[in-house]
Amino acid sequence: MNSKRIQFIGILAAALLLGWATRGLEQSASEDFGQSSDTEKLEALTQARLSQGMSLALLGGYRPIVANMVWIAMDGAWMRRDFDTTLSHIKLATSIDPRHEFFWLNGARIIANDMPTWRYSYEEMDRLHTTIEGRMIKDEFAEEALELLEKGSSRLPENPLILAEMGVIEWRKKDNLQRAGDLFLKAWGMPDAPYYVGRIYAEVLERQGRREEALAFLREMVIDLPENELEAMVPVVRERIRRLERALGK
Amino acid sequence: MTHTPEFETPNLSWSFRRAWLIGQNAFREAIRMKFFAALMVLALAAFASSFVFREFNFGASELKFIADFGFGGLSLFGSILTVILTVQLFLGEIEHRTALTLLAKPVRRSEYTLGKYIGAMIAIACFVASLTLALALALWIRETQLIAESPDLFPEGRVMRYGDILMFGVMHMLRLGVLSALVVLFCTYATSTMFAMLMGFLVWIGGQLQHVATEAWVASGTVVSKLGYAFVSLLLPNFHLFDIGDKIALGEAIALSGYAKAMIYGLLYASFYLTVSFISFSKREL
Repeated sequence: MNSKRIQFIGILAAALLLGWATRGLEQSASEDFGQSSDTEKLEALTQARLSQGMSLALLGGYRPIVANMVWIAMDGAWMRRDFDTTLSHIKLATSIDPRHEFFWLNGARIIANDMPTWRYSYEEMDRLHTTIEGRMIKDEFAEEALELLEKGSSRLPENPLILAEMGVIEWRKKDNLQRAGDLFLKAWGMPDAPYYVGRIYAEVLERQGRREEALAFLREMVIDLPENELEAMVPVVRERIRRLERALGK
Repeated sequence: MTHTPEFETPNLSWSFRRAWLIGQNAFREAIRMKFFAALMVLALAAFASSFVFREFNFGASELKFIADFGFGGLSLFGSILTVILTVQLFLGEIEHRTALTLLAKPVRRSEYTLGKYIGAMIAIACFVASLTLALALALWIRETQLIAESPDLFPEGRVMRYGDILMFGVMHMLRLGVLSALVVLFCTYATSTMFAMLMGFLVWIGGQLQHVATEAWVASGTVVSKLGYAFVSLLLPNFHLFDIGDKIALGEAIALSGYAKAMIYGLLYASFYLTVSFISFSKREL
């Protein structure tokens, strides 16, 4: 073996040894920085067959702009009603930039609300609601949307909007009021939960026939609502309380 | 028995001053390069374009988007600059044979190698510092405007952590320092600039994805794939470790211990690659 080869093997061995020696330090620093896994992002990249320019930009750190460009490309596929491209681009945008709820929420809405209708022509759209096959299609896409939102919730565990969106899908697409109620209540308990989440929770309780609980919830809720904030809709909540009191004879 | 490298000047004591002088010259050479100025302008233009691209932004708030864009520019253009500049400074003189004139004088090859590295790093530091300050300034101005326009959105005052933005610049310098040292190592072997640049870009991409190999190493089932991933994971430095822009853009606090550990990690790798470069270059026939 000539000296160059011996030198090369020596360098290789020393580099591996250094890698081994610094592994603990590397892991510890990564934990201190709270860095997350990128494996999912790479899988999504492979599925979506991103152009080399975009891959380079992503590698370079232009994460938000790449995610936005992917979303714009998704919009073109959405207009063509192209299932596979729309879905893969939604998953790609959420995996590239999972830090913001926009991609999770709107992606789930497209999957749950738009995609089932793509299975039928405009004239046959009613079949989604009137046939067993249509209901199965709705259910299938609702599951897909919920799966996406589950991932979003694991990435953004403090985000009430994602849980609320899951609740909406459980309610409107799967008719599962019990599960929807649980999700709305969980979202309502989070900091920065929008006021409408509480109102929807009360509505879901009422629709389940749990009027007493709905009334108790609204009475408790209205105490903390700010009078001067339009979004809090205090008069609407008070009117609902009055309506429930009348209905329950209280 | 002591070993004197074949091409070293015997009985010459090692001097950091000589390395520093070579470094100063290398830096002057670097800033005279049109490529350096062009990349600096391009990076600043790309950063300025974030104010246009914010119209296409769906996910993040404006300040986070601008910060992300600035970090992206630093990372992408900084890496390209590091690879090309280091190769040009080191191999340029060897290809043009002007290095022979310098090395014929009482200069150790390790001093020449370190000098070229120092020159490249000063130029890269100027690039990173300019972009980091430009980013911090742009964010400061925009944040001030936004606070004046909608004070309700900033109940607790400023949201950007400017100290951490400057620390991003420091972390990035470390990352580029490791990359530059690795490129110097390739240069001590390479006979053409093209080969050295290609290898530089490959290790940049490989190092950026090293953490994925580490994850796969832990997760993979077969012995062969485990060995393969372990080999890649241990061989390459983890450049992703220095990417702390995500946290900073979200305004999240970063543990000081993380900075300290990443610094030790970066310095260890850069020192290792430079030491190997000294040995390798001292044996190279020019």
